[in-house]
Amino acid sequence: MTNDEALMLEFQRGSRAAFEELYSRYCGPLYGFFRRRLENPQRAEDLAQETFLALIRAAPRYEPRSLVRTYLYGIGLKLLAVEQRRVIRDGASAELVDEPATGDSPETALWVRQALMKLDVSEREILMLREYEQLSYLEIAELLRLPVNTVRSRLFRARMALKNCLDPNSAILDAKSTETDTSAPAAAAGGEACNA
Amino acid sequence: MAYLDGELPVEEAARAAAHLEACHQCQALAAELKDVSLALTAWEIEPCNPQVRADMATALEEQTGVDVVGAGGGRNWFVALLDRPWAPFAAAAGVGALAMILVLMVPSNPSHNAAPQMALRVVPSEADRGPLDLFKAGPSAQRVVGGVPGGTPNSGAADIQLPATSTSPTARATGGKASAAQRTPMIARTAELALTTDNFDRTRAGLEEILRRHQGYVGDLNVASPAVGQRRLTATLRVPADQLEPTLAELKTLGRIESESQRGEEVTAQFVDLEARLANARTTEKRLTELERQHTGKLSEVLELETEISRVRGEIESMDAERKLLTTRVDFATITMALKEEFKAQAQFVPNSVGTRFRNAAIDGYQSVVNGVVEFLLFLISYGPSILLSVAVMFFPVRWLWRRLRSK
Repeated sequence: MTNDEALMLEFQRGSRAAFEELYSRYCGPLYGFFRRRLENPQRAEDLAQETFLALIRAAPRYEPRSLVRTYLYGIGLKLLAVEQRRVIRDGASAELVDEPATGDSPETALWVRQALMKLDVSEREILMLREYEQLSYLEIAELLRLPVNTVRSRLFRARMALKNCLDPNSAILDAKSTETDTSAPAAAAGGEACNA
Repeated sequence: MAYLDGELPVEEAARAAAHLEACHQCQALAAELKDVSLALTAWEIEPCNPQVRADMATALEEQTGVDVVGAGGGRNWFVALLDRPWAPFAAAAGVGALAMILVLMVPSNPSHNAAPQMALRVVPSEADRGPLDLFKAGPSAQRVVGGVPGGTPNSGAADIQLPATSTSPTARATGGKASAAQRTPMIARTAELALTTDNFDRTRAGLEEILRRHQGYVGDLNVASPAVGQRRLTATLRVPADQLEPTLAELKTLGRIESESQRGEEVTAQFVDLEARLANARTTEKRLTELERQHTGKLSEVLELETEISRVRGEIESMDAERKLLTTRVDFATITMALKEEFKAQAQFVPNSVGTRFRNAAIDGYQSVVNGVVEFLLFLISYGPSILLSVAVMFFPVRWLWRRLRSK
């Protein structure tokens, strides 16, 4: 399988197939990246598209110094920051809101999201980049301009905080392991004080 | 935690795994952290909407020609800019400035002002449809081609033609070949890796095994093994370009990573240029050879032709060698590896056995006797004659003096 950097260089030289391959690889992950951070699914779609547009415009200047994946998520983070500023300026809530979740256990997903929202912003971002975008410590460090050791320690703190958030009734962990229904509101109430 | 994420080198991971087997507290913590990761997977996202791709095509069309500075710009900052209270004044000032610039530029050729700022242009097309809906959304299907506004789609194989890297005039002269070679980028890849290991011999054997497995070879290898201190190895390894990443991944498992870097140098333009110059030189050589065969003039002119042919052949050989070198650089990636052994201080002195000490003492004694005799003989040979002469000279005066004193 051709790596992303070679594809990007082929795209730079005019290969549409290379761009299509890159698009098919990263469209879903980028949409997931924005979707988990924004309440509006349409904006998530738009921003995923704008990320690719920025990639197209930046293609002539592209040099294979860093991974395309890191490059794309770097663009994504900048677009996300702009979007969040816009949301705050317009007075809408930037927080994740309760909405129908997909998957086998929507209550569990809802509680996980609520637990994540209780984490410190920087720790949450690192945790999400690691768990959902599957970025390595080095890539996260490069994206957020942090030392790798800081990423490591913050990730540990985030996981411990999240564990405490999810622990009180052990509902999430039990729900995931047994796939039984859990009482999300009750469990969420139990985790109110986490990360305080 | 880095162990659970697979971010530890093999050696440290092995140590962590060993510790985890023995430590119940860490086992419990690891299980909890794994459960946290597992719980996070409950938050799933619906798949990407196929409609998105059509939207992107529309957005592409909307934004074509807008030069975005930086990667994070886009419509957002533009819209945000328009919302500012001072935006109308700034816009008016901008229009005024633009008008002045246009007035100043009128005498010049407008075609020169059509700078290639526009990287992409979207034009309707029914023919070229890729696997993405983005490019085949029914009646509004679009094809991205290079050029300036008003241009026509190029007939080349590639549809999206971004500004190409500059090529030399000679390369452009051989357009067909150049464009064919430009389809696939040529990248000379290099990587640098510094490792520390606690088992130098095993790591070195592992290094050779990895190279053998990936059809690589050692370009250069130096090992420093001081009697006291760390052993160090520096090597330049060459591996097939497509094997660089798996090779690096395996090399990283040989020890703790001190530093790592990778670099890719694109040499496509250089290669195309070289090929064009080579083709030109070969044509020149052929013409000169033909001229020499048909020439019936003066000998000096024939000699001049011979000299010129030799010069061109020298250039061809030189360029050919350069081309081969370039190809090798592209085909084989270079890994510069520095390996050092962890410093292990000797905590205790281990004395020799008694037998060895007696043997060493006997050898020392024998050597000192032999040295003493040799030194004595050397002294006699060196100073004996002088002493004898002195004695001979002094003998009679001393005896006379002695006798005279005794007679008193």
